[in-house]
Amino acid sequence: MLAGGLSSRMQRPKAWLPFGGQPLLVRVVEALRRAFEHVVVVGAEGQDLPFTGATVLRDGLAARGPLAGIQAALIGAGTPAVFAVSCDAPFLQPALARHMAHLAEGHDAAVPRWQDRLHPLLAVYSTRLLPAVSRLLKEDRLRPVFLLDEGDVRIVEEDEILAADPHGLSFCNMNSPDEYAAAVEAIPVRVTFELFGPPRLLAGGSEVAVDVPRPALLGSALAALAREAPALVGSVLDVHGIPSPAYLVSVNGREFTVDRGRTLADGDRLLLLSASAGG
Amino acid sequence: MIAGNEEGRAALASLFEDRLTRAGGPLGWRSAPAGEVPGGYWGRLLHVDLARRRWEFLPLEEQLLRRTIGGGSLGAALLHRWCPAGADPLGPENPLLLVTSPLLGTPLTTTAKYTVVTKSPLTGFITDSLSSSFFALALKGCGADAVVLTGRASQPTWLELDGSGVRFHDARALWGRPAGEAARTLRDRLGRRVRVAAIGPAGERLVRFATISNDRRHAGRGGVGAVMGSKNLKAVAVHSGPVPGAADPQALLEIAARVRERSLGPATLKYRSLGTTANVALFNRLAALPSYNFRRSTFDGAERLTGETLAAERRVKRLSCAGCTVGCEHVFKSAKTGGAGRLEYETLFALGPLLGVSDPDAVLQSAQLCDLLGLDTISAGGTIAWALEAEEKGLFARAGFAPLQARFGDGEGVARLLTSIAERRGVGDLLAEGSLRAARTVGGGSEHYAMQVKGMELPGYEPRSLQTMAVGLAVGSRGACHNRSGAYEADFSPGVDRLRADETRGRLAAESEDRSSLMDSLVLCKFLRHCFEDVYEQGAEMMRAVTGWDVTPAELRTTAERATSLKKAFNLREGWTPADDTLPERILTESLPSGVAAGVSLTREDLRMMIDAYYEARGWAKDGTITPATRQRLDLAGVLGESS
Repeated sequence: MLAGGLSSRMQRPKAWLPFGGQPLLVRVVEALRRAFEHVVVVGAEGQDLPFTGATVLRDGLAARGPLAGIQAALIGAGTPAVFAVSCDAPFLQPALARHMAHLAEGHDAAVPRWQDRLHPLLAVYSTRLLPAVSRLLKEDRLRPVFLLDEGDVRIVEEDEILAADPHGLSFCNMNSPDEYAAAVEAIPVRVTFELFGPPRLLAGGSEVAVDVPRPALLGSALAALAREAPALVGSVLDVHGIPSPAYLVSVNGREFTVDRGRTLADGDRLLLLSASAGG
Repeated sequence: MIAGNEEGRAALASLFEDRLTRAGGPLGWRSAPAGEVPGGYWGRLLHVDLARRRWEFLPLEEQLLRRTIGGGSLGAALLHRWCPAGADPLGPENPLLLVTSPLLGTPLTTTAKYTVVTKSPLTGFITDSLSSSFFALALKGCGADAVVLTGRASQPTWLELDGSGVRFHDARALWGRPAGEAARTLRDRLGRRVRVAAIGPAGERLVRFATISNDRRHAGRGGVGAVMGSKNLKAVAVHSGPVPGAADPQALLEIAARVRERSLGPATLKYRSLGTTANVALFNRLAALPSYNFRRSTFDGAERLTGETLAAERRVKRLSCAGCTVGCEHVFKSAKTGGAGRLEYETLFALGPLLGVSDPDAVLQSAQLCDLLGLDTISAGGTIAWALEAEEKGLFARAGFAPLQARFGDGEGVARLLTSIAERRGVGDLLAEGSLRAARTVGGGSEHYAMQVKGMELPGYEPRSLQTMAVGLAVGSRGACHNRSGAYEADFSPGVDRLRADETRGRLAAESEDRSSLMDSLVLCKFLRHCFEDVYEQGAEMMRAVTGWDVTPAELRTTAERATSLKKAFNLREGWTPADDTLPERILTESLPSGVAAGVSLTREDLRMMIDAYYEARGWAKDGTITPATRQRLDLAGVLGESS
């Protein structure tokens, strides 16, 4: 998580921007946690950051931009590769982050191309690139995109992105107060699936939170669940999130439904259970 | 631990053949039925008079078999014929019926079940209690569709049955021993092809909720074990023998393959992966998990008892009944004793949350005790829950009883009470009578805390947060029962508000009861219910292949409906009144305090309205009696052997 930007166009620190009831940094770190076991925040020396529980690395090179942040992460994270993202990606989809990490295996980097643009701040970098990063910094070539000429880079194309993030939500970023206002307006509905019985065993956990673009429909939420918890695909859901007839959903423990067109509200709890509920 | 299709197919392809061969001897179902008797039936019953030590085969009319099929429905008709009106349930005149069904012994999965039918010493009405596995298969080979046990043996006795008749044996050496131990002794003596159903100490001492046990399974509800004990009958040992042939073995094999395939799919994954223990977490979330004697419908300690937690921390293995491809039995080990035992939802509920116990080891210990002693876990838990609350309120002391020395959450205290019940020692003698009779003895308003219907303790389905199930529990012919009514399925369906009452629930409850009746007549395990698009259509297909009759889905709908009215007819004869179809006072006067159902209540008027709708859906009169038109439509007189 690269949090050390200057936020000059935003005119206020992005990390602290209120977003869906929490500071933006906290929101994006939560999304990363749903994708990865280990999350580090890279901030500038002395920068005031909201508490996320993640390790904070200080790059000391705030004025030198995100490439310095990537360098700090590659040195300090202690993993063979990092998924680097800036904190102004409020709708980052964990499924895309995981998907990218998977596609990066065996390459020096994996970078998505969305709407004909490469997005180096939503990309995976291997520690094998560290010498190149150091050299670029030394040469004062500070744009992360320069790094893409430095090794074996896997470009992740739009059709591959759509499999994990069908609305491209992860690519929504905001640099100005107007973009921030628009993003707040478009905050997807966040719902949480509670898994019972076989779904819980298969997914290896009891809850999965997903973001659903507005208007938020149960069908979209189930599709997001299929992406977030792929272990459910097959016996519980199909790849599109359509449940097997052996399963149904209860909205907030009150109403049982199989209506994929059912509208959801922010904070809804969706119980996914076997239709053979009971004896 | 989840059996996938391929694993299941590979492992189970030979299971039927193997198990049927071991349990049933020659594969009789392959041969076409002989003579006039329809396929799947012997066309006769075996009457055993324990007092006179005589037995005889008596014919069963084909019309009776066709109109009742088997299981609980055939048993209800036979009970009506064999039990004198007003019989003392623990007297020699009350017959104990072991009833088979036409699908039993065929390669159809989950059909290895038999039904014990009698007049219940707990309710005074009919009870029909199913058990399964190898004994059921062996029983089918005993040369009769039902065994009718009457009279009382002059001394403890066990019976030896084979296709040719009955031998009477002295059971004094077995008396006092757990059912499983008695069974092992008899199998050691008679050979491994013999299967045994027996009672434990609770049955011998006429505990009104004692069970009959076989092959780790139990005919649990209604005190059938006490009726067996009242006959001085310790055990029935059956030599496995050939079973009746099917009319169309090839068609039957094809149907069996299809059902088996489905039984290994998503529709039963819950049972294969966790069994009914999966209900604990869900019911707690839905505020449908009764705790502390139904004062609450959530339980703070539920997480420790969820199937998911138990499976992760202490599951040892998964087992199945004979001839079953599902395998719903999950065995867990005790961290305290190292021993292992089976747990399912009702036992977890009744010996856990209902008693405020959250320690899995304590629940496991109580469950194992119930199995050893021969106690129905639901009624045992329900009766103890009543006692703990009455004690809490000082009602035992006020009635002059010694202190109970147990409280909610006290697993050791519960274990002591279970033993004292089976031994009828101290307060256990009172509790052995069940919660309703015990409450009447203790008085002081303690009836308010007896969570029973018709004397049978409620299962783990909170009626206030499952208001369709509330109807099913209230009107059940054998009392509060989740097996005869699956109305909770309606509560868990789209379009139904489970926290509110309305008139549609009467019809929904009746429809659920009919589906259950059909499955309990054929017999098929209800865990298969989501494997069928239409159980009437697929049931008719099975019946045609087995019996050769031209059975239609419409006929089966009538047969299922008839089953409920047959049981009702017996209860009417035994003094049923509309006041018997109700729910405990607490359910109708207290609102739920916690969870998603906080503040929800069920009024007496709402329950009455739903029950009226249920009577109407059944074609019964407003007072719950069976109208002459319905009697005639269902030909009750013919089935009951009465002159019309």
